[in-house]
Amino acid sequence: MDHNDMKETNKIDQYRRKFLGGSAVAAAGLALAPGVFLHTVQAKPDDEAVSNKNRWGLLIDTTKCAEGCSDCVTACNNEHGLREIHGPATDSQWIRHVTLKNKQTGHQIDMPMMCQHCEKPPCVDVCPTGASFKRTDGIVLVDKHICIGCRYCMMACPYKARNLVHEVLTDQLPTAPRGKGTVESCTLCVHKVDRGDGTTACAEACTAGVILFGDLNDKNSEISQRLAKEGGQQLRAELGLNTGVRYQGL
Amino acid sequence: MKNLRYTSITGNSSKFLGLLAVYGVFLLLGFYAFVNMEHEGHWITGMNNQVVWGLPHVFAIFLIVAASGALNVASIASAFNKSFYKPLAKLSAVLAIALLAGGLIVLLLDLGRADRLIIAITHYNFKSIFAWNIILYTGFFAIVGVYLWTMLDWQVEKFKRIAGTVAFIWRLILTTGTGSIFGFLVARQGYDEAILAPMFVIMSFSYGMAIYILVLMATYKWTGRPLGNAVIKRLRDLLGVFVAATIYFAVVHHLTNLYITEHHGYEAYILRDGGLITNLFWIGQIVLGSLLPLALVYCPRPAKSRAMTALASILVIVGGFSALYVILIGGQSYPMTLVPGYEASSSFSDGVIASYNPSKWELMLGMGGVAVALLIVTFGLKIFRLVPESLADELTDPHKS
Amino acid sequence: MNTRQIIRLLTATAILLWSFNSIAASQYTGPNRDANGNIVPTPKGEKCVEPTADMRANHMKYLLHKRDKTMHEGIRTKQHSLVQCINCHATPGADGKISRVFEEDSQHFCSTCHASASVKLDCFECHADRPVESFSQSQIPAPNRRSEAVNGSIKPHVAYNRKVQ
Repeated sequence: MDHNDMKETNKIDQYRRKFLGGSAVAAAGLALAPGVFLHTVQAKPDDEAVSNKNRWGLLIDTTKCAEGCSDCVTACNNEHGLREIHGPATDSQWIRHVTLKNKQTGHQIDMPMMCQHCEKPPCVDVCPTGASFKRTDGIVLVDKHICIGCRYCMMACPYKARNLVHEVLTDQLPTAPRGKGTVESCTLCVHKVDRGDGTTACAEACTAGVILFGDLNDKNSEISQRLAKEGGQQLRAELGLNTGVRYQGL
Repeated sequence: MKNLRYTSITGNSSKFLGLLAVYGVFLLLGFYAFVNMEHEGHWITGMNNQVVWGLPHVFAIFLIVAASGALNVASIASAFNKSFYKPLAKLSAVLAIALLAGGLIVLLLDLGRADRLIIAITHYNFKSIFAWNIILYTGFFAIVGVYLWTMLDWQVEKFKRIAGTVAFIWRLILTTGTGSIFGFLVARQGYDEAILAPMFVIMSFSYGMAIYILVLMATYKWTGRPLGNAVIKRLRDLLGVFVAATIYFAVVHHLTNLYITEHHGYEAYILRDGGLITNLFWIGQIVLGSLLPLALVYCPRPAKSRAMTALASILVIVGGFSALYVILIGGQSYPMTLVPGYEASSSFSDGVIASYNPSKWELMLGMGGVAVALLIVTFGLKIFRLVPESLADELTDPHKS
Repeated sequence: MNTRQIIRLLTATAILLWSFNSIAASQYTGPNRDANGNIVPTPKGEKCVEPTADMRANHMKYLLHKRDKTMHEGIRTKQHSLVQCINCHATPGADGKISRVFEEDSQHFCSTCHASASVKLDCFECHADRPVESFSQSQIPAPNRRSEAVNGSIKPHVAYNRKVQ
């Protein structure tokens, strides 16, 4: 099965998930389409703690990322209720479209940037209260209940992935609690991951198939197989942080 | 050395009350700024998602670094047993506590969630250098407090030497910790260097001494107590040595970066193209904050003038603020390299110098911290018997007695 | 007054306050009133996940425990989940609207009691104080709404009411 087929299957999967909703997907999917390869992520039971059996990550194929496109950014903003308030300097941007230009050759790379979900995150090291933490399944989060807003993690992040909420917010979504004076960043759509959606808002929204969500610990997952076959680089790999987000075409 | 009589200042003149009123104004302004920032959020300040530590941190870190340095005089007296400095030691300890309190209050009131301060004590991440600093700061209060006690109460005086030595070691660790807040940051070009820790230590020596000289001069002048040239000369000479050492570290720091190609962009920004940052470095830190004070201290003619010594101290403080502004704002505003050889651009200031314009709120908050520090010193002078009634040469100078 | 007397007085005061509190908590006044007699929205469903008296005394402990479980371990059962509290308890009042926590004279389930008990309620500075179904389309951020926020029609800090402290 080549990539395009894989992508098609993914889209169908997404459609099914939306159509059927919730955790019935895995079972129903098998019943509906026997014989079709299904890239499904087993939804964990609600009462089961996450574990290091999984390591969630993203594979980003920069060669497919279109200049000027911001579909993933819009999807992320909608998913988490991020709004424009006082302008780009202080508004939260969990994901951003970065354009890289080679100074000598003019070669251009377009790519989405977000929290890289490091295995050894500097933000977690420096946080005085332990608010910045990594779940055992590799997702780096901020426990805003104990975040004091010191912003040291923002100083420490090599990817500038973190944002301080600069103002009082209202009408936050139930799935994305956010509040003034605390730091936040991409959660790898942790609420979707826990629900068993098996994808993130950005990955769902990208029609070009730039972003692939998956389990880096599962050898059979699409992301692992593609990484094994095609490779993928870490941003600022020299820092040795072993990021959960990998890039192709750098 | 003759017996010296230590007395508290009277503190009931109209001039004294006027001084308190000035502090009061700055305290109120600082508090007003805090209430506003707390109510509105940080968007009303100049800080943003690129430059996350702004002017309040410049003030806070300056005061914290200077606090450690203000303990110099006491350390020389107790830890190194130089009897000449003993009459000066108590004020030195109180000034150290006061400056640290002033700095910390700015740091704490600038938190995104200042109301959750208690969490900084109940939840601890021991890998965080910031968390270590919380221990170092509270420990500093406790240790210097005990040290001050051994100096004020003859019953526990026998512990003075040991308390003074512990305080000296602790303050070295404390400033190492403060410098390491930046030294341990791998992310940014301007930081991630072990030299920042000793550099902060030596900066603390010089800023703390400058503030000590000014406070001592003001105390004696405004209370009409005699202050001999012998004391001033010793402190001035120390200041000179410390300023020279600070220049040495700045030179090594920048030379190292200039040698390493990877850091050329950053050095070009700080030393040549940075606009305000560049001006603050050359004019503020180097010329006004280092070379001019050195000239005032070591050229024979100005060195004789007490006013010139005071001016040198003021300039060292100006240089200190400039140096910290360059380290903090300069270090944060210079963009990170995402992919080597590629220039980045985005809606999030990737690949460009991030802008930072300090707001009046941040300035007010910072000045409030300075007012807290000075208020504590002033009250300390009134409550405790910190300074001798006279520091005239015939009392202090071993050659004249 | 010596130290011992002060301690005695403080202890007596504490016991007195505690007993008042217990009496108040035991005065169960029907499903539509809270412990202080305030009218609160009628909750959905037949009964709460724990007995009412238990919830009155311990809801914060349950929430705190669940909070850490969800945050750090990804356990998202409905039992003791704040979202689920809101789904059942934040229901429309007599005027057909769901009262908001930070509005003037709030009739929100949480804020009525917290206001009269003078206990600061800071869950809802970050968390939603009503079920997601009740978000009107305009309140769910969409790209076309983002520009309005810039023009000032959405001013978060104005809507914020500090009455409940």
